[in-house]
Amino acid sequence: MPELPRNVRIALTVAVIAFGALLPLFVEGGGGFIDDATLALAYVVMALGLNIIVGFAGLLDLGYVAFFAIGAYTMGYFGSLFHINVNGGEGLHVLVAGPAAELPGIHANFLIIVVLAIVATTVAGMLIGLPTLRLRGDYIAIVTLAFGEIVGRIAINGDEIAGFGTKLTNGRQGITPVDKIDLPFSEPFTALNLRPWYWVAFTMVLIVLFVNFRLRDSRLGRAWIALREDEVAAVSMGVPLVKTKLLAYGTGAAFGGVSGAFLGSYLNTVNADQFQFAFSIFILAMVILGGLGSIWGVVVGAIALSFINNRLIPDVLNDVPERIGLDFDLTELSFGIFGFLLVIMMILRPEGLIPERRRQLELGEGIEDLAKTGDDDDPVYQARVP
Amino acid sequence: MAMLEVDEIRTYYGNIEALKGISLTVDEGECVTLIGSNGAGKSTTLRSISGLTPPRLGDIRFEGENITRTPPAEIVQRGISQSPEGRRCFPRMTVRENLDMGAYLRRDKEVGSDMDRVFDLFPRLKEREKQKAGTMSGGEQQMLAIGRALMAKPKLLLLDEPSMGIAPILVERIYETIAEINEQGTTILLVEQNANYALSVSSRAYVLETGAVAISDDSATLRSNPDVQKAYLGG
Repeated sequence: MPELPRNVRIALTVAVIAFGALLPLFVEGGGGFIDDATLALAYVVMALGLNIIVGFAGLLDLGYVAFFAIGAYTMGYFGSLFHINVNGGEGLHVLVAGPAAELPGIHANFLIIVVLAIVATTVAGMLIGLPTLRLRGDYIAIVTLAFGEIVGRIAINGDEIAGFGTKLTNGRQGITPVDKIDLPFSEPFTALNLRPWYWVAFTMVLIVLFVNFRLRDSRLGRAWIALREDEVAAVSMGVPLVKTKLLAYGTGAAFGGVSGAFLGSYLNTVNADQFQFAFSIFILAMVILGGLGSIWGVVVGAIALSFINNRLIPDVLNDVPERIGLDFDLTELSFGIFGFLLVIMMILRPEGLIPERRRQLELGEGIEDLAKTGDDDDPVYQARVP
Repeated sequence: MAMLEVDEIRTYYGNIEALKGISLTVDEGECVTLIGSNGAGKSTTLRSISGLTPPRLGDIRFEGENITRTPPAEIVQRGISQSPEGRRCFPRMTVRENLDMGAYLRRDKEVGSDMDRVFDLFPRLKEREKQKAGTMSGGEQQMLAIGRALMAKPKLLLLDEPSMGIAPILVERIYETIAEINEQGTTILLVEQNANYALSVSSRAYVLETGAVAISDDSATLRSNPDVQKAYLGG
């Protein structure tokens, strides 16, 4: 993609933001579209988080679902009836108004919960980062995959793990209902009017985008890219390996936690079945489809896959099997369809929908091979450079 | 007191003892070289000094302070930077971005003027400033690797096989520049298989054989040593 002039880029960015912000005013406030759009935005936040780990730092993380789970359980712990006996059944309330202020259990303001979710997931991200520090490539994928599975299993079996008068999770039954977000100066957050939910998700995306761009262009961002390109060389330049990798895991995880807390409240349940391996792949597919390391690419990839998953397959295309005389539910094939899409992508546009500048080079010109040999007598080199 | 003192270091890869007690010193302003055949432990010695593979036993002191088990980033901070074996430029970064990475730990204002100095030493890099490092020739990448190490403003520069896989005409250019860098005041510890070049640019040399120092002497003396001539100089 050619680099656009600066003022065109600014105009384009403003237009996209304005379109995104005003979109809910033109659609039905309780409708299916705004529901899909809100989910898509929450997924964008997660995909951008995973992009830091996989795209920027080049650490293939197959257990990203763990951070969704930890974020969502933070929401469940501090914003529901889950700890129903706390404070002698009176409940604990921190800066909450509305119906939640009267209920037993712990109820904290959503913004406080978001901060707690960030802390919890950052710590979890760094913990999972520690054992992978000496590993590379596929081995990182295996360890993170196992970590995601462990968290998923604990979520399922947590209803049998108890202590301090409370269970660890509610297992497959899920923690429900979960407090609705409640912010001052806003329309009430209800299931019938989804506009405020959408705007919260949209604000999250804007903040996360800003942080992403700043990180990418920072010293830390350069250090991540250097590590991805050549670990030994980066370390020789004085990039602190442990700190830099752990920061990638930590920040990436934090985004997952923010989105997880939001989804816990938005979906009104924190249910162990949400936190399974397929979800990690779902988010990873968004990153790859959009373009590893490319911020705008990942945004587009996340929105596209989210709409395919939540709208196109269950609503638009669902009667296709019936019409051609087959009897099955198309949603059961969702992952088959994603896989097929990825295969098509790898053939037609392996660098993703909107490729990152560097990746594009890698795949487009075979630079990697050149860098390895780089001989002055190399015919490929001779042909290219007069 | 020597700037760098390496005292009886033993470095292992797993259970394999790669360095079997190597000692050497480098004085300020010197250019010292380590020569030897494949597997003699030359690169491992450099990796031990720069902290990439710390020795299990023995001591390394830099400016009187023990840096044996100091992390690589801190060693760079103290003034030792390395141009690694096989160049290892960041292939998808431009020449300028690569040089910027060399100054990763620096926050002073002289980074810009140091970059100009690198461009003065290697005018070829200036011409290719915006080019991706991976698209350059081996010789140009070697220049970039040396330039990148210089960007850390090292007191001691470690160079690992700067002649490897490079067209002979460029090797000559690179060695002229190495001499120039040394004359400008940077101390250099150079590892090289190509003993001819290494002995011409250095004042002292250590000959390594299977993880131990076999001979150490003035470079000029070594060049006329019949054993060395026979084994390493093709004479």
